[in-house]
Formats: sequence, C-alpha cells, structure tokens
Amino acid sequence: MKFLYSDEPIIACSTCNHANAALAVIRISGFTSLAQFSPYFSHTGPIEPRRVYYTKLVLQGQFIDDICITYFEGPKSYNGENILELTIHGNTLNTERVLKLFINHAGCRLASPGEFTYRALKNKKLTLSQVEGLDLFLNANTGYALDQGLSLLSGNLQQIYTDLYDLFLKHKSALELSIDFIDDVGEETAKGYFTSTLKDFKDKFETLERRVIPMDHNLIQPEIVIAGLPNSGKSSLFNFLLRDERAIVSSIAGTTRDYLSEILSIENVRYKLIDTAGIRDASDVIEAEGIRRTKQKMQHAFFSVLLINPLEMREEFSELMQLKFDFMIFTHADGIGFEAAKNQLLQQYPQLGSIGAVSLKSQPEVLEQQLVDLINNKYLSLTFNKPILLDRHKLLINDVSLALKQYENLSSYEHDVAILSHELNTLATCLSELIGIVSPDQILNSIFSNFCIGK
Amino acid sequence: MFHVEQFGEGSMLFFDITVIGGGHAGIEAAHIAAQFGLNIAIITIPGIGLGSAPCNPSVGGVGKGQVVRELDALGGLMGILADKAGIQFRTLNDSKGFAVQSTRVQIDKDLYSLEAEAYIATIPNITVIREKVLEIKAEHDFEIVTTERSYRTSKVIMTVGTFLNGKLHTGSEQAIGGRVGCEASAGLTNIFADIKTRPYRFKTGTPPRLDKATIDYSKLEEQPSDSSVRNFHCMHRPFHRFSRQVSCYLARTNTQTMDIIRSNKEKSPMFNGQIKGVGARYCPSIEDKAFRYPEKSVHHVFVEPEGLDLDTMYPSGISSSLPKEVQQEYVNSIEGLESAKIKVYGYAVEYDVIDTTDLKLTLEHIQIPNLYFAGQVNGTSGYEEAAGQGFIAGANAAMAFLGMDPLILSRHESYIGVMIEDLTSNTRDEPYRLFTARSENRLFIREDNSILRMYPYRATFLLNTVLDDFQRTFMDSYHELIQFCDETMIPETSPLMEEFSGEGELQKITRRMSVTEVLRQAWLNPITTLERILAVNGLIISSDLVRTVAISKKYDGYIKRSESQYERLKKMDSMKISWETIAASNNISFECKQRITRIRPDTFGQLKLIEGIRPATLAVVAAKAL
Repeated sequence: MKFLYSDEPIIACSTCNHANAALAVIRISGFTSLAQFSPYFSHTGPIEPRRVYYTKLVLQGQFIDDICITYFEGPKSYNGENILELTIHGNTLNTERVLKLFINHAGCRLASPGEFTYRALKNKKLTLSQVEGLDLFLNANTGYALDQGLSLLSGNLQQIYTDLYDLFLKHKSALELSIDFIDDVGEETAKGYFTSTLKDFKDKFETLERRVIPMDHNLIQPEIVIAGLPNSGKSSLFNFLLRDERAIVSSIAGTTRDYLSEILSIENVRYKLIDTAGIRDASDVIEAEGIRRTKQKMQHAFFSVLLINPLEMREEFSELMQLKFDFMIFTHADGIGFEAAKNQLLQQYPQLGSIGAVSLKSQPEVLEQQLVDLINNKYLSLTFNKPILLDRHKLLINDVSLALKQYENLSSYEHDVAILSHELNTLATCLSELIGIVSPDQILNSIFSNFCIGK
Repeated sequence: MFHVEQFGEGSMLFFDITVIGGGHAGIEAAHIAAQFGLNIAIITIPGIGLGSAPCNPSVGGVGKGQVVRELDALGGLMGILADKAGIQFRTLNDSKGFAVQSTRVQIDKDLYSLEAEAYIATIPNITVIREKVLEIKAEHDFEIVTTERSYRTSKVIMTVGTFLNGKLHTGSEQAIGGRVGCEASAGLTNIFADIKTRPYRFKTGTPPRLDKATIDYSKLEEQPSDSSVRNFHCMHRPFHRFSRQVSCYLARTNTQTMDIIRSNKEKSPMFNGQIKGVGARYCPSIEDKAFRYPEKSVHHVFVEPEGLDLDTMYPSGISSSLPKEVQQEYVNSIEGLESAKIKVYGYAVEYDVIDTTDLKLTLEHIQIPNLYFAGQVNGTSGYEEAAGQGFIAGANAAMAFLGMDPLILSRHESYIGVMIEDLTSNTRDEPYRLFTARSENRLFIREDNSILRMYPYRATFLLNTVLDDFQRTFMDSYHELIQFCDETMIPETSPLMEEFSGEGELQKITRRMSVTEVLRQAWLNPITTLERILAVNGLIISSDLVRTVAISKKYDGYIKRSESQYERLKKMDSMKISWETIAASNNISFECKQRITRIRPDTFGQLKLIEGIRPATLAVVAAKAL
C-alpha cells in the first residue's frame, strides 16, 4: 500500500456522492498544528477542540465560502490524529474548489481510499475486525448488513470467534495432555478428553459454519432481476414497481450502463432492481449474447422474476426455461387465445405451475403485493440464520472446515500424536487468522481496497 | 580428587571455577568444566552425597528423556549414572509415535549417588569440599567464605537447589532447611547483597515414603522393567543392564482417600495460609488434587522402589504437607496400602528463587559477570532440567575462562535450548518443567537423533575423547546410510516390495521407489522396514544408527513443513509491541494486564509466551501492532 509509511496531512470530502447537496463535510487529518490553516480562516481567536466555529474561508483575500469548523485534537479523535472537520456548502464545484485550496496552498494531500481508517488502525483506535465492521456498516444496503457491521464494530462476532478459539485450545491441550501427562491422567481419561473436546469444538464450529451460505454475497447489495424475452413486458413491470420511487431515487452512478437499474426499497432493504431489457437494447448484439448476459445476471441475483408472453413463443424460450427463477408472470392476459396458449405452456413445462404464475394486467396491485411478500420472505429466511457476510471470514471458515475434516480423517487412523499435533497447526493457523492473530499486511490490503475515499 | 586437608591452614586456595552445590546441576557443571583441564571445586553441604535424589527415584520421562540424551551426546554425566543405577526401564508414550517416546529409568538412589561420588573421584582436577558457605564476596574475583576457611575463584556457579532460605512444612510443624534432615543455606541476600530474589517464593513437595515390606503387591498393577528400552549413554551397549531389575506398581486413590484429605483442609499448610510459596500446577500435591478437582477421586499412584537395598517405596502422585497422622490415614485408605507404614513423612519446602531474566543465555548473571546460576534456584523442577542447566553453566564458565565462543543451544534443536531460552526471556510465576509441548519443533527434537543434533555443538569444545571419536564415526556412518536410502532404488516387482504392499490394507506400492520413499509409507514401521531392506542387501549396521536414519526419513517431510511454519511464526513473533500501551488499553482483561505489566514483553513472541494470556488479548494486539 502506497500510503503505509506516509504520515503527511490528508484531506477528503466525507459526504461526497458527486451530487449537489446543501452541505458537504470535508475532513483534514494528521496535521501538527492548526496554525498552518489560519491564513484561510477569518476567525482569529483560539480554536478549542470539539467546539464548532463559524468562519469565512478565504484565499489571498478572496472570499470562498461560509463554513463551520470543528477541531478534534489527537489522540482523542476518531483515528488518533488531529482532525479538522469543515462543513461547507455542498455544491460539487464548491467542494472541489475547497479541496484544491487545501491541497495547493495548505500542504495537504488527497487521501487514498480508506486512509483515515487505516490511520485509526495504525494508532490503535480500531481493531482489524472493527475496521471490517465499519466497512460493512458504511456500505450496507440491508438492515441485516447494517446489523452485522455494527456487531463487528462492537466485537460481538469477534466474541464468537474467540470462544471457538478457546474450544480449539481445549482440544489442543487434550492432545498435549495425552503426550506430556499420560502417566498422571491415564490412557482412558486422556482419550475421553480428546474425543469430548473435539466434539465440543466441532459442535460450536458447525453452528458457525451454518452461517456461511453461498447466497449471502447478494445480501450486501441484493439484486432483483427481471428477465424475459423481448416484448414480454419487462419494462412495464420495471416501471410499475418503481412508480412511487422514481421521484426520489436516481440512477446508480459509476456503473457501466449496460442494463437499467434502480433502487427499490422494501421493508428497509434497498434492492437493486434490474431490467435486463437494457442488456439487449444497449449493446445491440445478437440474441444469444443477450441471453448469456441475462443468465449471468440471474445467477447472482438475490431474487429473479421471469416474464412470459404465452402468445409470442420463440426458440430461445426453451433456453430461458433452464434458468433458475423465483417467480414467474404470464403477461398479455388480454390477448386473444391467452388462456389456451398458457395452458399449453403449462402442460409442456409442468414445473411452471408450481411457481405460482400470475398475470400482470388483471390485478397489478395484487401481483405487486405477492411479489413484495415473496421477496421479503426470501430476505427474512436468508437472514434468519444470521449469515456471515464478509468474504474474508467466509473463506477462512471454509478453510477451517476443510482443515477440520482432514484432521478428523487423520485422527481416525494415525496414532503418531506428534504428527496429529503437527496437523492441528494448520487448523490453528486458520483460526488465528479468523480472530485476527496474523501478520496484518495482506488483510489490510484487501480491506482497504473496499473503502471509499474519505472514510 | 584432592582432599582439602592436604592443604595447610592459612593459605587461601584458588580455583578457576567453583561450583556451589553438589546436586544434579552441580556435578554436571563441574564435570564438563573439568574436561577443559581447569581447576574445579565443588563446595557442598556436609552429609549429602553428590547427585542425591531427594524426591522421585527416577531419571527421564516425557521431554526429560530427551534432555538426558542431549546431555549424554554433549558429554554429560547423567545418562551414564542413570544407566548404572537403573533398576527399572520404561518407554513412555510407546504407542504414540517416535517423536514423543521418552525413556524413564527408575534409579537406586543410593547407588546413583555412590556412582556419582566414584565418577567425580576419578577426575583429578575436581576438588570436593564439604563445607557450608557463609558468604561470597565479589571483588576482582570471588572470595568464598565457608564455616571452615576462605577460597578464591575466578568464576562461581551457584547450584544451590532448594536450600536458599529453605523452610520445611509437615502439618503445623516447621523446620528450617532445604530438605528433610539438612540445614538450609543462608539466603542469597546474605551471600550476595546485589542479587534480588523473586518477590515470592516457590514451593515443592514430596510424598511420604512407605515401608517396602508393608505393601500388599498382589492388589497393585505390576509394571516390570522393559528389556527393550535402550540405555541412555550412547557408548553403553543399548540393552545391557548394570543392576538387577525390579518392578514398579500402580495403585489408585478412591473416594475415601479424597474425603480424608478434604475433611482435613484446615490442617493443610497449603490451604490454611501457612505456606505462601507458589507450587507448580503440573505437579500438584494430593491436597491440590482434592480441592481443585472435587469431582474426581481416582488418581494414579505409582509405587516405585527407591533402591534395591533400601526398604522404602516412593508413592508418586500423593505428595503432601498434611500432618503425619492424616498422611498415615489417607495412605491406608488406598487399596494395597491398607497396612503400609510410613518411614519418612511427606513435606513441602518453600525456597527462594532468582529472577532468571537477569541471566544471559550462558546462564551468567548480567549484573555480576563470572557468576552463573543453574538448577532449581532458577525456579525449575526436576533433576534433568537441573542437570541441563548445570551443563550449560559449566561449559560456558570454562569456555569463557579459556576465551572460547559461548555454548548456546538453539531452541529449534534441543529441549535444553528451549528451556534456557524460556528461562532467560521470561519471568515465571510457577516452577518450570520441560514438556514436549514447549517445543515448536517436536518432530525433530527426538531421543533417537540426539547425537545428530548435539554433535555440532560438542565439536565446538575442541576436545578429543573417546566420545568424540565415537560420534565422528557415528556421523560418518549416518551420512553413508542416508545416501544409501536416497540413492538406492527398489523396483515394485521385487519380492520385498511385494511383501511391503501386502502389509498395507488399502495402499500398495505401484512404482519403483527409493528407500527413502519406502520409509515414508504410512503403514510401514520405518525401523523394521529399513532393517529388512538392509538385510536383503546384506548390510549389517548398528541398530542405533538404523533407528536414527529410519525415523529421520519418516519425519523429514513434516519437519520441513514445520520449519516454514516456524519461519513465519518467527517473523510475526519478532514484531515489536508496546506493553505500556497494551496495559493501558480498555480491551484487555485485568488479569492479562497484570501479567503483562509484570513481564513487560517487547515483542509479540514474548507476549505469546506469557502463561495465561488469552487469545482475545493476542488478537487485539496483533490487529493493532503494525
């Protein structure tokens, strides 16, 4: 990481989302004295920590903005360094101008992503898993991710890991006991202890392992995908579902617009609603490519809806039918011959009947309610077991699982306890990484690459 | 050996190195130092023979057997003496793999001490002085004042055991002394004004000794001597026995035994506050067992002979400082010991120990050069641990005297190295004993390869004795046999390979393999396999060497892997930390903070070594220490 050893003052906008707003907060961290900024403030008196001061921002006599400043003196600040927070007017041009002022004239450098938090870690204000929790907390799109972020920040999940580690140590001790203290405890007791401690560890671990489910990637940014052949009514459904949202949501910035997506909030969860019509329309490629992309989207979707117009059947339909989807809607119910065509289709693909197919045009509100309930139920059932969201943790838990299986296999036939103990070290390594007893370099890289600037 | 009386009154005798104490640490120190041709004295309390065994009558054990063999390969004394005085031989962990197999020998303790006296007597440059030391003055060199006269010496090795301010407890009876029937030495404060002892004392205990003739052996489980156990000394014939062999016996405590102890809690000096010293958790007295594990009432009691001609048995596992009548009562509650008579009552001893973090890896004191400490005074328990330190102190005192490089054994290659590093890098709050679990490299630090591991160190002594000749030959043959294993290919169709295949339940040998590869097949015993291969090839090689090579090959892969793990750990462990910050942190338990503040670790590795540090604490520190 390039900023590992640089401790010069850094600056970034902490609230920026590239849209104009009433206010924006700019943070400067790591300066030695406030004096280096005084030429740019009209305020002349002393600036006491944790008090808000109103001042004008000026550059070479020229008025820039009316702002409020708050000084957090290190080490009693978020990241342990001296921090100055500037609340300015939130026009994006203004924000840029203020940033430039401090970078060009006051010796600040634009912060790298995650650098504020990195310094908090460095200055022992946060632990590694707290940083991971913070990351999750700040980027959460679901109430559940928000909760897990908070749980990490407050150390609850960490407690589960350390409890697991304690049980592991008990087993490890049981193994060592059977070597160093065999005379004191006797073979039978040692064996019993070995078996029971392994079981305790396994039981506890399996509870944790159940919380690792393959789907949960989508729980951080869950997507609802609408798929179907052209003219099956995808865009109609898309617009219908968004009719109340349109005014208050904007398109997601920064993504490549090869499909249409908007935010749809259901019960405190912000879903990304995707109309795969965009895939084909935007790229103007052959049908096959469109279907390939649709498939891909649906694979990673939290929830997928398939739309079928029974009156307009095409060759690609059979391919669409192979996709896994959560809900299916028959469209064009007012068309001539709809019922006959639908029944024929249901006969041809008996699996469709079990999905609970409905028609879009007859009672759209009923349909919507049904859809919302299904989505919400799926969300509730997936979060019921409190799945682990962080990839690093999931991978490590899988590693532990593998190491544990290998160890169990080995311990059923290998009688060389020194070798068993040696193999147990593999398990120990995974576990200690889980609770954060590792050389932190590699973890830091992966964590901070997720951070947005200014956090 | 000279006798002090040979020297006239008034003249002050000078020794190059003087060892205070003639126990297991003392005689090793004197013995190795004397091999360098220096003029050595042992000053020991009158009335105790050299190398006496005041506690359990055995040498070796898990981890300790490895130490005895390391000592033996370095040219130590303990293995030779134990073989000669050995009356019952056993391999512990016999079924658990070669790395953790350890030899334990019951010794005739009188014979052991007699052998030690006789052996030391043959060394002309060691003088044994049986006087009590009153004071040691450190000036340019040292002046040692005893009850009889004064001596001058360049270097002093303190191996004073439990005699520093020793205090004995049996019930409410208390006596001053380092063991039963002996006076205590003066405290360190009297001998050296400058050296601090630890602020709290250590405690150890010993069980009552039983009259041999009053035990009903038919009710006990007999453990005969195992004739397939190899002697400790590498130049003794492996299976030769110097003494008549006898059996040990296994008895068990029961609910009645534990109830007797539990109902006498207020009479136990350890639980009524009379003893303040800290005992070892791993060597609990019977009172400890009764009160710490209230749900358990069956504990092993090994009834071990103290000697062929001695009429006492040592019941291992029931050490106690309870009043005499309670000891008699609980002993008689044990099946087989119903009418056993106690000849010597059990007692606990409290004693001063020094702070070993003030010692260098050579065991020389940092503040007072030329002064060395070894053995129980350093807070260790066990004859083997004492002997190991004695050897290190003795060799280093001699080599320093001669201007040679110091002897520092790596913890990666020996249990002695593990022990010395643990002692000097960390303050302990209970007596220190070696466990195999203390080593990070257990698969390598084995009994079978002790010569392999110690030969390079022995070579730095630049001595040329029969032992050195023996080891040189051994090493040459070792390399030849290793080469044979690596280079000899056996086709899978050979009758021997088909035999090997037939012995595997699921696995088979399906291709041509080198001998080395064959030895690594999981279902084959590497030793017998190599023996069979050698026999087919018409080679006759000593069984010790075959053993070393076969087991080395078996573990090779694992050892390489653990070396890379060790490297990674070492990197992590060398990470600097600030104990002040950790101790001030809110995220760490009070107990951990106390330990951290007391020990003041500078690196993550040292922090990890502190006993009782919780994983949560390590996690917090690891995550923060960048």
